[in-house]
Amino acid sequence: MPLLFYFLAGKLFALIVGGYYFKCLTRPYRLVLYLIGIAAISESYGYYIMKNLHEHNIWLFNFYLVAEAWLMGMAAVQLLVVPWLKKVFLMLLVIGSIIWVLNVVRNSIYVFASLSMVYGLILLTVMYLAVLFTNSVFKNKNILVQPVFWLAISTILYCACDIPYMVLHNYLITNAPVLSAKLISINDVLDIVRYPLVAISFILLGRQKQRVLNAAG
Amino acid sequence: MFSNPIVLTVLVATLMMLLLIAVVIITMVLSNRRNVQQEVKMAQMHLDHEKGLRLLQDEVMAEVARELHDNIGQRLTFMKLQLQQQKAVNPASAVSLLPVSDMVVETIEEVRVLGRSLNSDVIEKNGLVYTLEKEVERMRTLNKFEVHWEHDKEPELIKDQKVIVFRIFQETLNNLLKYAEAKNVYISMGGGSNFKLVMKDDGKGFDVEQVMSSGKGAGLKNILKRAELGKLKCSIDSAPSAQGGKGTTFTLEKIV
Repeated sequence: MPLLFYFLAGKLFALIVGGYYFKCLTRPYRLVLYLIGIAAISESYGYYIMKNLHEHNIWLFNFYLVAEAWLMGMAAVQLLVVPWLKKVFLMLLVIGSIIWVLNVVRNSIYVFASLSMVYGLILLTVMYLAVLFTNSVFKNKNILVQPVFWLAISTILYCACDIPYMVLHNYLITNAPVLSAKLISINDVLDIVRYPLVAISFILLGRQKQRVLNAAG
Repeated sequence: MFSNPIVLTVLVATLMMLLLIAVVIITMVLSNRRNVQQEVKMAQMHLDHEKGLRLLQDEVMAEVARELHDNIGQRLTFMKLQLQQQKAVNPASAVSLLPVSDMVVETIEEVRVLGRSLNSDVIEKNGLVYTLEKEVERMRTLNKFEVHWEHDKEPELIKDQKVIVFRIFQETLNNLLKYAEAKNVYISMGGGSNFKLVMKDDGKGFDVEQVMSSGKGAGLKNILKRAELGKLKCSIDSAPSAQGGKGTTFTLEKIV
């Protein structure tokens, strides 16, 4: 079975769960849901371009980088409760976009914007760590039943663990493509783990909201 | 593959990241668990404190009830006897003493009823149905509204819960007297294991949320707190006459 199936399975599961609880999801979670939809489409279309059209699909993932940074970043900004942190992270998101543009202009859209990706990964890791610390720890509620915990953990896990490989991605593609093909399995595994964790956060939020609605009426 | 320094660097760095995240998560979960436990402990202490206060309040009320019965009650009875004696000795004064004598008799009865309503031991001795019935009778004598009272067998509640139900019942009836301007009050109580007390009136109603948030609802908050202490579920459904008032329905039931 192609690896694409495993990638899509996690995303489809999260999409179905997110769709089911859509009315109960708050704006940041909806942004994450939209991103999962974009990721599923990009993944499938990228696979189609490469396998059927035998063309480069890097440009597609370069655009996906911007979408991911902004959607996940805006979700984190909305989840943050400290106003000055929101402003700082918004500025860092804008700087990230500028780095992406410079990266693409310098190397062309057909070369993976690795520097921009690494910047995004570090930024999202720090943002979701901030979300985790400002939202969950000080609330004195069971952390494991809080949707924000699972969303933040899934993002931190994916982004932080992907940084070491992504730093060397372009170097490996050029100098050691065989090694790169093997090492990218780190990214694959993280990708497969990430979305079911996001789905857990959708389920928890959906159930919490449904309980509140049931109690109210 | 693993002998390649680049692969090794990437793998070690990734594992380090993973380890770091694991440490962060474990620390957070442990710290959160400690916080939650502390919060639960604080809530329990608060509950115990509230319970202690209620017990103390009941003891004070019981003491007042005893004092009313043993001291004031006895003095009034003595006055009544003296008046009777005076009437026997001096029949000419009987007519002028009659209103005083009647008032003393009424006061004795009122003190007896008040003493009973203050003493929670009466509930344990006579049962909740009997005690509530006596309160209903007391309300009927005031002729402020028509009380329709129906009940089932004695509800299966522990002593503390019965006392709490009785006190809430008293507080709600007092609220009805003071604010409701009702013509009819319908009270029903389910017994056995299906305890449910419903008090419905056709009065002017009120905005529950506004009263609760405005700081005027001390009595209502007290009722809710008492219900929570007794592990009872309490709900108030009401709307002011301006919003198509439908009176007030107060429900108290056992949490299953």
